[in-house]
Amino acid sequence: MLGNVCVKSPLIEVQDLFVKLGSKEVLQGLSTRFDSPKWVSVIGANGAGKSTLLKAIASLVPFEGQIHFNGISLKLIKPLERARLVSWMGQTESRLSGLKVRDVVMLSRYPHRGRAQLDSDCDEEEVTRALDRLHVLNLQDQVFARLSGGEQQRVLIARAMAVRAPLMLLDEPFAFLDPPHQAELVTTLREEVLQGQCVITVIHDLNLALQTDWICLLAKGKVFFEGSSDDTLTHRAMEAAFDHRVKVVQTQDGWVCLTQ
Amino acid sequence: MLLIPVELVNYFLLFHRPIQVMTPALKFSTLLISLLVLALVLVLLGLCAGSSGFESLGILIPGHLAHDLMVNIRLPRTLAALSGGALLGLAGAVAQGLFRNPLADPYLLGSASGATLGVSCALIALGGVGLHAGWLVRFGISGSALIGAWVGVILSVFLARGFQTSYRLLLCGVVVGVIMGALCSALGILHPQMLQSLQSFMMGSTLFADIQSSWLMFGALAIAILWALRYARALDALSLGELTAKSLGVDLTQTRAHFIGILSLCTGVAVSQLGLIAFVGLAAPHVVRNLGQVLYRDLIVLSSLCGAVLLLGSDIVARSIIGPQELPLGLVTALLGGLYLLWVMNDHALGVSGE
Repeated sequence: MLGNVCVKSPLIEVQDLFVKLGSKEVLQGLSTRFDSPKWVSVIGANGAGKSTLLKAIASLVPFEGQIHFNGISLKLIKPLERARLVSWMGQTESRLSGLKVRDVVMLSRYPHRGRAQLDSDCDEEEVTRALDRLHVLNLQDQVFARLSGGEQQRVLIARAMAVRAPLMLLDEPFAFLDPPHQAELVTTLREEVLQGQCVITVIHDLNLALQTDWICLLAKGKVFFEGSSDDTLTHRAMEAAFDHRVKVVQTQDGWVCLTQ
Repeated sequence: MLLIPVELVNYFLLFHRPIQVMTPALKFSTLLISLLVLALVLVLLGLCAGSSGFESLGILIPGHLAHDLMVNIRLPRTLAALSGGALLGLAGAVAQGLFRNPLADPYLLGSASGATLGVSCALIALGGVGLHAGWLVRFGISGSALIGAWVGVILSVFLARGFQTSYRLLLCGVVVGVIMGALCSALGILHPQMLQSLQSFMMGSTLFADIQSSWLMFGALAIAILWALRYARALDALSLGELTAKSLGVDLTQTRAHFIGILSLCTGVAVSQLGLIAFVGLAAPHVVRNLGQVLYRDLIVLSSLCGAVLLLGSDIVARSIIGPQELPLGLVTALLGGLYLLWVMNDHALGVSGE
């Protein structure tokens, strides 16, 4: 078990994060922390640095500053070990793979198995569980590239989930999904969090963001505001960050974000 | 020159990403056994076929009139086609997996142009002798082809400043290919007497392969297959995207370095013994993928076997179809490969676009 028994370190602690992509300074001194178990949504205007933040935590882009996982610097953790602790699903990754759906999700076991070719029973179980949770078990023998956008999206989320990492980073998981599947995904992610997982999602749809536990609002490469999704201060911050072109109101079923 | 289509394919692959058509999948074992049986049949055919037409299987018995002909000429050529084709099939599968493009072929990092340049230099140094001269000459030419191929790849990697990005590597490969091709043409203008021999090399043939060639190629094949199988899982992960593979713990730089090493070994050895043979490396993985095998641990083995079958089949056609004359092997593979690609593209044109 990582971490000290007496002092509980946050799962992820980011300090003064600077990330430069090409010639653009995308993240400019971002600092935040996320605890487990929690469902965090990272929101903000286009170009605020949301995807980049997730990529930095997954060590996929070079960065300056400190990112600690349970008190240990990410730079000190070896790639396979880090892959077992942090699972990532990207927004613009390739969807042309000719592999079967089951084989795609089986790749999630790579951090646990390395280059070994034969998969154990444990791996098979995890893959079946993930396929089942995302309701794509019936598609497992189909070719990934020939699925519809929504089906591919659910397979990719299953792939990220089957890693069973304590931290799961999902970039725009609700993209391509129709409303019923979006609702199913909300339920599935909530269940994962209840089982102790920390999930950080980048979300464009503010209504979906309001259904998560914690909102991290980014603007211009820094954290603009962080707070619980129920808190009115968070709602006012959201309205301010989007130039008051949105309004958060209460309805019978919860909070809703209206555009004006 | 055949070099230009190879370079165009390389350039084309930077931008075009077609999707394979999938027919119902065959099991790995079924495909393996079928290909092995086909290979065996072709070997027997290869031993019986030749410039004097087809002879019966009696040729295998030592007493037979043409038995010596079979042992000294047809057997080495058949084995060379088998092992060379396997090397090219394997290299093709690796190239397509590493660069995540089904149009990649084994020559894409400047190995074809490097080998050609090496052979031109050797031909000039040897005073423009024909390829029919003694074994020392042939050894010198094979050696130059091998060194030239490896120099081409090393130069591409050096220009790309290491194994950091696939895109940069591909681009530098094309650049190196074009520059070496230009140097080769310049040499051709200065020393036109070597052009005819060079043309024979570029057309590809099993004519100059002896038993030692096959030993060399089978040896390289054994090393390459074991090496590739060791890193095959990383290629599977790469099919989901480079960042996804990295997030799964794949060391991209190390993976690229290993696979480019495998590529160089396979293409260098194959080119040095058989000359430039187009399309086998491109088509073999395609055929296997269309029959349903895409996991790299399966694709590597099956693509090798498929390449062996394709090249041996083409060699038999080249040797016997216009007997007693021979068609250049590279010509036959280019024709067959071109027709196959046309057929595949036609299938896609009828399907839903953008899928």
